[in-house]
Amino acid sequence: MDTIGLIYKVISGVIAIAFLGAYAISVVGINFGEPTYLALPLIANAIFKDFILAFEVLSILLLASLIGAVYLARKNGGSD
Amino acid sequence: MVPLNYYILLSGVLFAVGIYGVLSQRNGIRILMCIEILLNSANLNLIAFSSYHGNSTGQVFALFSIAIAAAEAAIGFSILIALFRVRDTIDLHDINILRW
Repeated sequence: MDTIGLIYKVISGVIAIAFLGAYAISVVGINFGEPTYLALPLIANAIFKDFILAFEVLSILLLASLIGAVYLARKNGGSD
Repeated sequence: MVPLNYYILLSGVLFAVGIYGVLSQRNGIRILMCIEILLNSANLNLIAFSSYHGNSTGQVFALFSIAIAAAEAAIGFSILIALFRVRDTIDLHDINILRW
């Protein structure tokens, strides 16, 4: 292994462990209470009534990403 | 009954794994996989808090977030395919055409 890769790995590990430590300290010991079970029709109503505009826009986003992915991954795509 | 703290801690562990991978790996596909781990940890937090709060908006948001992650993965992998055709490598430390 080259030294620069090892240095990257060590720095990344230190950052990840520091994040996990701060995160765990801020979360442990808090009492959040009991879960409330959501009925499935509630979620269905939220998707198809409250967020119907976001749902439709999402379909356009998926179509655009499909077309973009096919265009980029074509032969000679992205280079000309 | 599993307390909410365990979900949050699992999400934090997943986030730390993803951060480590994004910062340390050089292979483009591995970095994309680690980005997916990051997004999944955020989704886990959204769903856990939604379930404990009794509000279904978080679960709907997680569903939309999964769809956006799918779009992002498709674009990312196609960029890597185009890059591999041009440069014959997907080692992101060797690809510095957008760096100054």
